[in-house]
Amino acid sequence: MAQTTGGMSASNMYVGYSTNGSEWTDCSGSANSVEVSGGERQSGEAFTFDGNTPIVKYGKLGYLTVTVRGVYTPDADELYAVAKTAYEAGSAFYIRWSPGGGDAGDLGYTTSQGTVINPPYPGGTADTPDPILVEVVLHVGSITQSTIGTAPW
Amino acid sequence: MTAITPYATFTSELAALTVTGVTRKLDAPPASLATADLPAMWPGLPRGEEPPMTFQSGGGWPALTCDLVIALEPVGQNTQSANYAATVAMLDNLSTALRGANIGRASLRWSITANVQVDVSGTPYWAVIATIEGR
Repeated sequence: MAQTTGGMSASNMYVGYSTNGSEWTDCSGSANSVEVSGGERQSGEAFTFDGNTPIVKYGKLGYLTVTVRGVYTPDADELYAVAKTAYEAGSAFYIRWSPGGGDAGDLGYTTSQGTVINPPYPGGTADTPDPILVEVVLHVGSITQSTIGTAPW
Repeated sequence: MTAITPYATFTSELAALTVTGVTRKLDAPPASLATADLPAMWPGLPRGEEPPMTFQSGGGWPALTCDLVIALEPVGQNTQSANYAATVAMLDNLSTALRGANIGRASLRWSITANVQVDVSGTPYWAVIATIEGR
C-alpha cells in the first residue's frame, strides 16, 4: 500500500457547542484541544477447570468522556461562560467537532445529549504567562460520525 | 482578551523603561557611545515564538524575547573594583525596574547577567544584559 496522503493536523479543527442539539455555536476560536476517552465495552470472563484461557463475553458500552479545553474569557457567549451555566444548572450540553475543519464533505463527530460534570472555573499559576485554559468535561452516551453536507458547520 | 503585543511595542516599551542610574536611553543598538552618555541602555533585536492557541487560526499568544543591554564603562577605564561595584548595582537597578514593569499582557520573566562585555564600535564595555520574555 502506498503511503497515505490523507493525514491531517488537528490545528484547523472545527469545534462547536450547543445547549439544545440543534442550534450550534462555533467555538473554534476559544477551543484549544478536544479529547475523547471512556466508552469501553463491558466484558466479563470465567474460567473452567479445563483449558488455560478464559471464556470472555461482552456487554454494553460505557459512557464517553469528551474533554474540551478552551481559552478562558469573560465573554458571555464563549465556551467558558456557556459551559459554566450548563454545569451549574445540570442542563443539556452538546459538543461537535470536525478534524477537517467542518467543511462540506468532512467527517464530523457529534455527541448525544450530555452534561458538564466538572466545574470549569478558571485557575492558574503565577509562573506561567500562558493564557488561562478552562476544561469542559462532558459525559455522553454516544458520539455519532457523519459526513458534513453541502453547508459547512 | 487583551490584544496581541506587537514586537515594536514590546521593544519600544523596554527601551523606555526607567532604570535608576541609566544616563541615556536609546531606541536601538548604538553605532557608537559617548562617555557622557554612560551608562546607556538599548534593546536588541527581538525574537519570538507563537504556537497556535486555538483551532481557529495560527498563533495568537506570542512569546516575545528581547535583550535589554546597559553599557556602563569601557573596559580598561576606572578601577576594576569600582566597575565591578557599579555593574552589580546596575543588576539590582535593572531587576527592580523589570519587577515594576507593565509591558505586554502577562508578567515579564527574565534572566540577567553581568558576565559579559558588549562591543560598540570596537570598544568593549562592562555591561548588564537582561534577556526578557513577555507575552
